[in-house]
Amino acid sequence: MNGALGDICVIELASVKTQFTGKLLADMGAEVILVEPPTGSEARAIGPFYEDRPDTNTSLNFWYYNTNKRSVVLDYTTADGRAILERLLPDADVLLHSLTAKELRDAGIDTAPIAKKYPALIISAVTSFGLEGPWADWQATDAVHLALGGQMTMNGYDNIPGSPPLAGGGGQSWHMGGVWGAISTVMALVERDKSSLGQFSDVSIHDAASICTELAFSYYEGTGEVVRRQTGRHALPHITSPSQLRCSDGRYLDISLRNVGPDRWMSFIEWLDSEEMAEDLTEDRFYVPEILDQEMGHVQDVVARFCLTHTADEMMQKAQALGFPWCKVFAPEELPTNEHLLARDFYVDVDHPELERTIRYPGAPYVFSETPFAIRHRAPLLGEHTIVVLHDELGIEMSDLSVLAESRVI
Amino acid sequence: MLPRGKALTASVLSGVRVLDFTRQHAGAGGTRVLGTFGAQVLRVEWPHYPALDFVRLFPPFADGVSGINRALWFNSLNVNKLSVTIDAKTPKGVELLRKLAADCDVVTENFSAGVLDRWGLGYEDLKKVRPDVIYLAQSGFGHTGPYRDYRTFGPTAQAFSGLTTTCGLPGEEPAGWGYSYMDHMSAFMAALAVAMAIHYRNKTGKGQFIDLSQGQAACTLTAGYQMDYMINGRAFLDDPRNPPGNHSTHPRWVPHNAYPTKGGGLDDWCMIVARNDDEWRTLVDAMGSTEWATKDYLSTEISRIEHEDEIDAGIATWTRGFEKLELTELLQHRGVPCGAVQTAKDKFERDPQLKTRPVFQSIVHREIGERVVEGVVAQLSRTPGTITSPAPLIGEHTRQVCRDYLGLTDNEIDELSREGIVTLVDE
Repeated sequence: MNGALGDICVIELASVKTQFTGKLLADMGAEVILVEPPTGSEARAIGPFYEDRPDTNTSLNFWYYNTNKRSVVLDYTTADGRAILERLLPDADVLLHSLTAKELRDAGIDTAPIAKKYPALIISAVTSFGLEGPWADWQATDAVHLALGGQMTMNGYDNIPGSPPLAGGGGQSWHMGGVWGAISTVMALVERDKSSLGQFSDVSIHDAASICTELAFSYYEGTGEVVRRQTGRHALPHITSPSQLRCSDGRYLDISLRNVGPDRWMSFIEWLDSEEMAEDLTEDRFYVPEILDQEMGHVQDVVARFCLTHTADEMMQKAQALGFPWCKVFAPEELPTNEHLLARDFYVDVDHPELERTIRYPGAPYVFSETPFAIRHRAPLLGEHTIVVLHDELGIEMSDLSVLAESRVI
Repeated sequence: MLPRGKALTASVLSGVRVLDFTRQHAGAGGTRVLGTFGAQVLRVEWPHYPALDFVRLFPPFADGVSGINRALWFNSLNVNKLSVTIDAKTPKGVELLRKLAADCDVVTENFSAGVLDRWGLGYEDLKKVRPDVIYLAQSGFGHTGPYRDYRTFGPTAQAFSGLTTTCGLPGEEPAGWGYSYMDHMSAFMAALAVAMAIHYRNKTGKGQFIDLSQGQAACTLTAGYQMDYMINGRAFLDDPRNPPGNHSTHPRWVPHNAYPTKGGGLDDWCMIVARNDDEWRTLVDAMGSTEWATKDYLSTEISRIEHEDEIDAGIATWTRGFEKLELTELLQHRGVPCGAVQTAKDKFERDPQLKTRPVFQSIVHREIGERVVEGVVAQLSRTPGTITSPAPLIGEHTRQVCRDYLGLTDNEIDELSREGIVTLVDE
């Protein structure tokens, strides 16, 4: 078996909500057939684009989230299209979609009889709010999810009066929902290994975001308090001292002095003292954890002055050597040359024959010893595999496909 | 007997036993997912520093009273698990743990690279007693590479990956994420990785070693920025408009921002988006076709981008008259994407959608009574994830596990307790 999910076939009805789930499965060996409308997945319209030239096949967003998938163009809102979609189901293990109850009805897709006809099929939905409930048909974007889910209230500045709560970049609510879509789907597969039966999976991105807020829930549940956002550090009911410090190169360092312990504290003070920057931190009283905590504002002021005499890289390397979990606040453009990521072969060169070149992609979130993550091929061009899948594999006659193509079903 | 009740026998992972050495959120959050799907999770703990999971003593505490079994964050994170206190730093403890591992399908740990190897509980050690073991090692930067010994928390991984840099207002220092987002995400990826490995083992009989680096996992969540740089040469920090606040860059939708709402409090804000001309017209209509918004030059996507500041100011004037959830309902009913900036209180008390979903559940804890804990996201129709037992007291199940799985007599267990190899709770 090639890959942890090498025996699994997924039919994914393309959308920005399903694509991360589909990628997580495909990169671990699943065969994923991406069913796209004639205009292409909505993700193909999201930039940035290859060499800034927007085109159906040049979205970097689409490229990244659709590695290892094959594309079949199929308008499943038509009866003919649905008939073809159903031809794909007998060999499929998973039908992955993001259609709400209303969207399913509008598309003429009824999942109940499909489940009955294919009892081993897992029908996996990743929708904004779940398949039922008062908000089930609401419209959401990534930032709308991060507002409703509780992330925005925790992200922002306490030192800029009136500044807004912030969503953060990179499509994180799609990741929250997408990873749960994959967990739920694979759990259903593991169960099916025993029972030979499929089932429905209903993952709501709003649920996923709503319980991805760490201490905010515990504080509210325990004390009724709401956490307050604070610059570059944890949102808490009380204001803490700044832990994101500016360095000599204008870059920032994320520091923590929690649970330091006497040995690490001593080595840290020796470092500061060796550069005559320790000020009064050499005093014995700072070895008492309670006093260190009480004086944290002052301590971090001293450390802040010290940081201004070193670059963020220097600070990170030296502090880590002393056992402190401190990290430079990296920019995304610094990662492709980062020595650690390179040593771990994080980046993968993927062949793009249509461009006659390879493109470098961020790679594996995890390293499996037996069934490694692999990008076997790039994301598909729109409809690249329509004929291969429908004619070569399903055996639909070319003449029939021509008729469907004329009516823009495929 | 150990709680392997009816709910678990029919579940996804019934019969799967996990020897769980993980600590903190990133570790415990992953085995929580396995537990809610019916795996039996044996949490190996120790009640004293430095081996104690600090989350057990992290506020807030139930009724404001601190205690090793009273931390609410811990108790929400560790439902559906058993707690076994065996000292992994003693030869006898290691011997007991190896014997326990022989009957476990999955071993999970999130110590720094090499720690469990030094204790004799690494993958190579445990593979000898359990050849098909699935061994998940979660760490900050993974078990290879120049940063392998770096210490990390969630914020470290976020700082490393660009997640911190990409959240903020233009010209300001990064605001970053106000919590350990990556503790959640690496926990979920851990659960996913183990589930995939179980499927593979079901098919082939083979276990494996999984090296999950939190920092590296985080770098898979900022891929768009990295690819824009690698392919188009566009560096995030070179653009003075970055970080872009709540404005959207890909695609470039206007309006796309958080707007202040009635009350003017810290969390009185609403996110409003118009993705196309239709949604913009609907929004203008909802605003009563106010004069500024009906100007011709705002009617197309391109021109709205040029007038983003004017649009933001105009909408903010209007939104101040509405309570945030009322505004959300008003616009959503017309089909405009809109979301109140919700706090935990809003989600818990007001959000009508969450009331229909099992995301908050109550459970009776042996020491602190009935409490609400976070629920389950993955909803399976036939074998749903469920919360069946509260977080364990520390060492609550040591005696049962020693007796039932290690075949020790009560006298032998008491002797181990006297020697300080295990701890027992008052029974």
